[in-house]
Amino acid sequence: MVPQAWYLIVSALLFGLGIVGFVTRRNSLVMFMSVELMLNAANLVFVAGARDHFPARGTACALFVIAVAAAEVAVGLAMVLALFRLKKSVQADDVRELRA
Amino acid sequence: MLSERTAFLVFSAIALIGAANVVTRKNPVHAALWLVGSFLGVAGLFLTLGAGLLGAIQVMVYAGAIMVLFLFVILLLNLDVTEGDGLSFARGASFLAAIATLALVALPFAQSRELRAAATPDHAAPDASAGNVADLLFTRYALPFEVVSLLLLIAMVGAIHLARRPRRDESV
Amino acid sequence: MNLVAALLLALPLTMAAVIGLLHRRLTTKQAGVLAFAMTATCFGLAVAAFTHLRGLPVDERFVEATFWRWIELGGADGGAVDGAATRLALDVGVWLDPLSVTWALFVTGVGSLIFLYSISYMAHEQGGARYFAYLCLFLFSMLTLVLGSNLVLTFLGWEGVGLCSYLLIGFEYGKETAAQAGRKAFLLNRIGDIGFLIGMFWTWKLFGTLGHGEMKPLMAGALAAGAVIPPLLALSYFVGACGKSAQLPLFVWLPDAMAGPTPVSALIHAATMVTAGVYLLCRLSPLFAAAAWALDVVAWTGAATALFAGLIALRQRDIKRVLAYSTVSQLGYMFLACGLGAFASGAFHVVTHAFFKALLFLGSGAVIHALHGEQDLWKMGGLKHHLPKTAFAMRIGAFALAGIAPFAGFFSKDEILGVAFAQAYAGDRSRWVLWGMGVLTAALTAFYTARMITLCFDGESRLDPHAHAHPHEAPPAMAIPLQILAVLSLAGGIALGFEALHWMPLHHWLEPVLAPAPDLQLSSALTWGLMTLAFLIAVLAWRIGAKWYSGDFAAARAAELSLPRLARVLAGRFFVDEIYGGLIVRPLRFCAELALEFDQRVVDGLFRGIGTAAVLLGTAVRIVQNGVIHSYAFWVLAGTVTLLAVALS
Repeated sequence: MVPQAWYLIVSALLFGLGIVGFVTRRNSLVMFMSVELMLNAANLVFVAGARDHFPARGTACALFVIAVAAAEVAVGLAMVLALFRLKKSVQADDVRELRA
Repeated sequence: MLSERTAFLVFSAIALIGAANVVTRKNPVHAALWLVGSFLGVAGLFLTLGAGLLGAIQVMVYAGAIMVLFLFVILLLNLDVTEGDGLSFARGASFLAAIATLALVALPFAQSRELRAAATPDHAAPDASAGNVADLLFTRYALPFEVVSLLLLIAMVGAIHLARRPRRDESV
Repeated sequence: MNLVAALLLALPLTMAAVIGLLHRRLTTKQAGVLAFAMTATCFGLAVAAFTHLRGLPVDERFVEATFWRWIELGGADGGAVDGAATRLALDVGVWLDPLSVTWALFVTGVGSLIFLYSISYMAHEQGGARYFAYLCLFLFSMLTLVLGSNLVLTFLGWEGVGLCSYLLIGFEYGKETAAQAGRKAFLLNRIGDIGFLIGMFWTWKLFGTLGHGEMKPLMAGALAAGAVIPPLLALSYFVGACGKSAQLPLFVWLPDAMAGPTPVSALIHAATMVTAGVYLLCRLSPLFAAAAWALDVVAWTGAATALFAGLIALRQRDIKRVLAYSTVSQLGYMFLACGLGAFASGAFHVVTHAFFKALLFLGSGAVIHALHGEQDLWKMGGLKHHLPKTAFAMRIGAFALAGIAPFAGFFSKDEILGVAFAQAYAGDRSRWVLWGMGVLTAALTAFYTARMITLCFDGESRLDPHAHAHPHEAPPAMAIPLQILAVLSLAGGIALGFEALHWMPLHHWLEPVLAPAPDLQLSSALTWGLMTLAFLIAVLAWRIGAKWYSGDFAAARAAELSLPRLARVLAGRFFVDEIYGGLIVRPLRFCAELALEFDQRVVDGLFRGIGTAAVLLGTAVRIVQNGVIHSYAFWVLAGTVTLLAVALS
């Protein structure tokens, strides 16, 4: 069996890439994608960590994360749409003020 | 065991290369397609971990539903492909932060022999089959399950409200 | 009788409301005629009440008309239990007895004449309808004060007349002096009102009732025992009376109150409202009679006020101020009478004073009216040629004020001096001083009255020839009240009481209500002798005053200024206002300024400091809140890394 540590390292790399994407990209859609990457990394940790002793629980927790991610994407994309109507842009740094 | 290791390496490579391209592609459509690849890689990793159910769900929900949603929005907005430079300070800072995170995560492995060693699975534990997961969801995780259902409902209502076209707005 | 009683209060209130609500629609004349008709009706009602009471046996001359239950507190068993009252039950009602009807008669009677006079006097003033609304409200308050069936209603009227007085003094509220005088009157009356209030609370605690009818038998009996409580209780009421009736040391508001229109001065600040204090003393006379040394305080205060105000009046140049100080002085006489236990004599003087002082004020109003607002005696003179009728009427009023027989003031004033003399003659030495003060004041009164009349009507004209080319006699609506009041000032005294002939109808009429006066009959010869003496003193003082001022005006003025220090003190009214200013107003103002300083520096500083701190904090934190999502994300990341580092190390 592949040691859990390897999975964790892959997970950490995925998470790191997600962070870099979230912080550096200006396109809010891509920022959301980066968030999804980080959530995937988290899922990987859940499942890998649970593999040896209670695998079913890892899957269950990952399912919850996927559900939350789905919710987040739905609301997030709706927000992007609303923002685009307002500003004609999806660049996150175009939105600095609370007022329109 | 060799095949499992190979599978792990292949799927990890797919996931990481996909992720790297998501972060670096300027065109959001390309980024989204690379993200599908990354998701598929992670789904493969789930398979190697013996969580076939989760792998399937990953493919259906992420690679299927969520990605379609992303692409749909991108096409709907008909965005410019080009994107200006990222924020330079943020770029440097984020790389630093990412490296720091990696270092912090890697540090325990460097120190701990146990984590590096191949684990010995507990075969008595219930495996991650659909039946066992379902049992868990309706017993031990019943409350989080209900909460998540509520969260999804709220998200749905919120998304509809947010995306609804304002009545007297001719701008879009 | 219930209907009469109800109408006596309801009519003025209704009229006040009607005129008050319509005061923009009604002309001065319409409002005045309405108000006058109402007042005259009230006078008719008062006469009806009077005849009704006269028809009753002497001991049963009272009518209590209860309209509705006003306030009810505490248990039903009620009354005073172990010296502490447990129940308060107050009705809105009218208490008619000889005392209240006497007051109601002259209030409505003199009031009608003054209302009539006002129609013409106010014809050219702004807001005449408003003026009549106030007057009606005043009449209602005054009648409530007099006729109310319990002390709380009396107090209600007491406050009401104070309010109307304030409103009418400040009637021309555009004038700063008028507005200030109104405030001054209001504030000084508050001091007295506190005394009244304390007295009421205490009375309720002791008697368990505040009704006039129920209190009367209780007052003398329940209090006869105590040596401390009855005088203190009486004195707290006396403080109230001092405020309302402008006695020392609270008299300073009355002269300033002359800033109001002259008919108001006549009605409120001479004839009716200021006698409310005397009414209170008479109403509570059994209490005062039981409170030995409190009565002395009343007598001495009255005598001192009479003398003090008489001295000040000697040097006033404003004709209305002379009259105002003479009012204070005459009120002092009334208090002296009450203090001597001769409440009926005090009431007698109240009635005659109402006649002749109203006459004098209305006459001075006619003079001021003719001279377009000139009030300075030094700028008058020789007016008898221009205003013969007014001059004649004023002279009658002046004789009455000076105490010259057979005018009204002579009889009432002489009676008061007679009582003081009788008590002194019976062995009380301190009464000699009171009598002396009274006689001296009488001489001063005759002197300054003669001065006023002579300066105004006799001698050379000192009018500004350009401003007042042809002073004209007042119109009939102003002249008729003057003539009626002149008749009353002439005959009112002798008709109501002539002690030497044992003709004292007013005294007998009031007898069932008032505490009996000390029974000290002087011999007939002594009575006649005293009368002659008083008459001679008054005539002599008048002659001196008239002679002094009828000749060379420049010399008289020089004489007035010849004793510089005394003249300054008198002209400056003993600087009472300045003393109050220094003793009370300045320290208060200092405290206020201190508080202001504290508020501005410490309290405001504290809050400003908090505000500044918040602003500074905000400025510091705002640097991070730049609205860039990436930087937020970075900070979240930095925090996470830090936490991880802490957790894993």
